[in-house]
Amino acid sequence: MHIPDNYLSVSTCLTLAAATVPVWARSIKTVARDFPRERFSALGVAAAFSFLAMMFNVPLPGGTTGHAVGGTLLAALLGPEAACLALSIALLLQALLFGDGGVLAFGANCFNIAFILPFSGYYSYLLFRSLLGSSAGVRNYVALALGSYLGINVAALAAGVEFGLQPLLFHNAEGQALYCPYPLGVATAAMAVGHLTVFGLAEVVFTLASYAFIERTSPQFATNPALTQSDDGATARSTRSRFNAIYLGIALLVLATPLGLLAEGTAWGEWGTDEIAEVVVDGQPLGYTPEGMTNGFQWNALVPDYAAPGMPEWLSYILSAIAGVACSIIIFKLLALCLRRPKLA
Amino acid sequence: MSALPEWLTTRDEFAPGKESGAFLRKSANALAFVLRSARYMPERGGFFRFSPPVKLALALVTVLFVSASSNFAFVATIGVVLLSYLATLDARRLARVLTPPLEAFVASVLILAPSLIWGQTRAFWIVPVKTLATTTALSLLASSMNWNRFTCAFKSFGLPNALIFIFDLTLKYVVVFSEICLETFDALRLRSVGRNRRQARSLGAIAGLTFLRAQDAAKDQFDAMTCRCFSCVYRRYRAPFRLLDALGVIFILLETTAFWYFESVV
Repeated sequence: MHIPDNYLSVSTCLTLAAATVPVWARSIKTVARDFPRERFSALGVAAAFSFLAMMFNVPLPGGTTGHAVGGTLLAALLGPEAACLALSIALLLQALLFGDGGVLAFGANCFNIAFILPFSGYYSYLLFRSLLGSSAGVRNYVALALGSYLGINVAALAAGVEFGLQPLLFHNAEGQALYCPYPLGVATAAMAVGHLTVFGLAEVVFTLASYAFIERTSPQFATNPALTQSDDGATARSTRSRFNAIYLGIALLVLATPLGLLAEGTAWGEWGTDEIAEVVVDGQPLGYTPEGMTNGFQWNALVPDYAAPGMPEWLSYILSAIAGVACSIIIFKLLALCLRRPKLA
Repeated sequence: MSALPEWLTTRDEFAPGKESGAFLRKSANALAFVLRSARYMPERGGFFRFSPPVKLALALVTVLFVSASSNFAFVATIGVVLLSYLATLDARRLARVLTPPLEAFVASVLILAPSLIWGQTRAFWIVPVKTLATTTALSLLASSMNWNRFTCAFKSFGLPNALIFIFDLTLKYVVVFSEICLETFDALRLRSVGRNRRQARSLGAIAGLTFLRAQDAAKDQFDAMTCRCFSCVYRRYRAPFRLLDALGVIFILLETTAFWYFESVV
């Protein structure tokens, strides 16, 4: 679902970035007002969690891959605004350091993954929870599963619509697309097929497994009332502080990241300029490379595709995961310091 | 009863001219920064608990290998290790350690930005990342030791006494002269109440005064050394070798092995 550079026109990227600005502003304002400063490290951990989730590529028959995001999980644990900020930082690190998702398309990716996904997933989770009439137990898990499934599918649909609008709006005199060449029907169908099946399922599994782990080992990680309050209003926070268990979970995820390398192929809509002309869609190859891709903006990431030259791929993947986790935590610790307000006497 | 003189009845408009006082303010701030750095109390815990020689060796080996490495994978590995350690620090300590390296990183990125125009993407990344890694290692070292601890560490590496004495004395006199200058600046500021356009011209007088007092300080220093029978011979640092220091040595060996491995791969 990471849109690379030059798949969307510059004007589309700027429009989607402008649409995301108010969401960021509201999220920063809400988090700065409501989020305890000493809990800002939890935001870093959340960003790290999502960063790692996106490294586990899942294959789809036909040669493409996808991954879970964990957006609804973060929204359920910390609130949608905090999830938006955590996901935005994770996306920023992926784009700048590893070239996963475009730098120019950063606003568009944040619109889909950091705004639409956590907000739609979270509010549908609340809706299903109220329909099922329980905020704890199996019904809560069912509501969370439905919310996360819906969240990732709505976000994928948004990405598909953004892809699909490009050939309609931007093409040359010969009718060749300047950016993403696939029309609305093809793009939305391609995004929907993967996310309604394997990737949606991966998101549900990741969300439920992580939620159960956190609820059991580190309930104090959650600041959102959705998790911390049970039906009778009694707090579900454990008296035993086992916040460190979540760091253990992250360490295990880091060590397991090379599993993501087992899935071969490129995710739909993330092909490089050297391969898009050969990609077969609807039984025939595209046959040309769109002009906007050959002459467009190119960002040279520090470690492109999480692969440092001169290092085994699995080791490079693990080191990239550690770097992403560490950077997420450091950024939110520094943000906590910047947002710290003096206490009134 | 005589009438008031005319000059006393007219209204005076007093509009003090603009006087930024930048010379005094900036000079005093710079000196205060030096004093604050010199009197900085080191942090404790983690890397900060290694003995001074091990800390110094770790930092120097890191700087040396990162600078000499021609393999980006080695630089990236050291960068990840440093990042992982930084992520465990609390926010205030993190900001203190990370501020100078980030300034150096941004400066090197700006300097190298034109190289992108000619497609030199490798150089664009590798130099700022090397700068970030080496300055972070040194910043961790600086924030973990009092300046006088450096002299202990130097002696452990067999540096000549004369060199350590000069280093030691320089650091001490930086503090003493900064205090003298700061006092003189305070005196000048008090004299400059109202308006003093000639603040900057006092620089020569301040320098001269500091020099004269330095002469006195040097004489006092010599007398104190004589009284204490100190003949510029420093003793070796003799703290017990702990398990933590052994871990530091193991890390140095691992770093050395990784350096040779990655260099042989290229």
